[in-house]
Amino acid sequence: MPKHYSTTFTKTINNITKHFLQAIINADSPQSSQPLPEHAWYIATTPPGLGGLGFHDIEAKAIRMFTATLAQSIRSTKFGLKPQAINVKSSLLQDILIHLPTHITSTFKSWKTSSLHVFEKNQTSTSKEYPYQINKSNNH
Amino acid sequence: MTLDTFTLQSPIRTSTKQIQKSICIHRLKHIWPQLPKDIQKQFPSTLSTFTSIPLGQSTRTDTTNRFFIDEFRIYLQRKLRLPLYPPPPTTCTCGNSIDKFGDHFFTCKHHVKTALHHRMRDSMYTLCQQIMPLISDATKENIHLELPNIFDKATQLRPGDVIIKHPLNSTTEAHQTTLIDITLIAPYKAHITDTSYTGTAAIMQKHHQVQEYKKFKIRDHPPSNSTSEQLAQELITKNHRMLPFTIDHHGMLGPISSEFLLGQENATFTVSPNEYENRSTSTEVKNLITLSMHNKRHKNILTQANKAWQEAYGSKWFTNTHHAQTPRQWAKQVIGNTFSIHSAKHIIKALNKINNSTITPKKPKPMCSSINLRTPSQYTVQNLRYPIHSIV
Repeated sequence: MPKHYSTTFTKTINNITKHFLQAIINADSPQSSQPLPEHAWYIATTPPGLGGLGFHDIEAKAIRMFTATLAQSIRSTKFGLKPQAINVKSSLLQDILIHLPTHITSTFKSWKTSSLHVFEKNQTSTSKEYPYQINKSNNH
Repeated sequence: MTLDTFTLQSPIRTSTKQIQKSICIHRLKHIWPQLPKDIQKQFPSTLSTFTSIPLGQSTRTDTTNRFFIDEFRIYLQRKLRLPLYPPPPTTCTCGNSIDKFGDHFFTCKHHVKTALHHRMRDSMYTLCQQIMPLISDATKENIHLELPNIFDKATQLRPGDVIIKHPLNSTTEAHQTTLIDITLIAPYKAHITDTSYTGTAAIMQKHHQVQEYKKFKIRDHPPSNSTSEQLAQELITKNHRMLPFTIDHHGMLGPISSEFLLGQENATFTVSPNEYENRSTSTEVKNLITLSMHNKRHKNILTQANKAWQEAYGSKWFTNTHHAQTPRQWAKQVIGNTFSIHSAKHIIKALNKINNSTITPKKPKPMCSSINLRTPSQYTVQNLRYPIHSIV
């Protein structure tokens, strides 16, 4: 599994962030034009919850963002969209789902699940069941 | 978990966070072997979450959370473990050499950390005043700052910086009083043989624990003819708990303080309390440790405060800014900001002190094989760019 996604575009954006940081830290230093050391870039781009400064390393973030949007798209095509503005406390509106037209859902029609080792290995807590699943079972 | 479960059922936010975490671990494994030893040794401390807070999570509407430009630069240099710029002089007023990261200023006795200690003490006092009443363990009036008369004979001795007097019917605390002693510990100096990140982090925790252990040994008090053992026994008799609150030069907390604030899952006790006790020669000190590590002691007060706040006020925000929604967030910001700002001030103050003094380099010790004939030379360090106005 790739750990980062790198193109000229992503590299350029990361370099801008690195130069920005370097300029703040060592404004008048002869080293200000040099890139940040690897460990400093690591600390800068680690999330604050893990002890970093939370700058975005878009090369490292690409996989995560791609996975999130793809998973959301598959869910929406399979179960429909749940309107966010609707008051969920109202029992009448709780089960409302807007099903997408076929010409949109057909993109993910060939979606197949997988029981690859990597997914069995990374067991995660899924205590919060996906709300659409609950709605689906309620309908039955 | 199958791909189906991951894609269709698992909460997206949690899953993506786990992906992010695994990527971070992978990156760390990748860069770790290439790091120089002096960076490797301090790296676990550098990744303290408390020092991550001042950059983006705290409010600047509170003027005490603001950095001066030089302080901010030093804060960033320290956090990213980069050499200080402008580079510090090579020799300190104590005669020893100064490292390029400025760690020396947290060890040197010529640059006392009293101001930093007092600011940390004050922030801990404020924190306890806000948090302890929430978890119904003490009212504001029962929290004191450097209270004298803890001991009968040595009345002027103050073993705790912040004193919490618990109610008699407390369900979470077996002790009558908790004495929090703020300690800023020096960087770990010895050579580290373990080459892994986890091994180095464990050594850092052990270093904290050794310092915590030292705090249980209260010094003799000659004016009142009280020995260390007598003082320890008095604390035991009065059912007082000692809580050594250790913070290192990068803002990393020791296991006892982590457990007190954030819970057991955030505290790594490398040396078990039993092992702790065996190191002590005095029975009284052993007993004081046993008492202080009693199972019925406060753990994870910040999460408890979060729950209490939610039960009492629902979704109401704890502060009037959008930066701190819960008591836990607020408390972490208080500690993180205070430490980051005042440790930067400490370094600036030390650099200015060196800048304004004539330094005599320490005469190197003669080598066994030859006599060292070099004479110490007098010189003045060139002016640095740290302006006086940035020191408060």
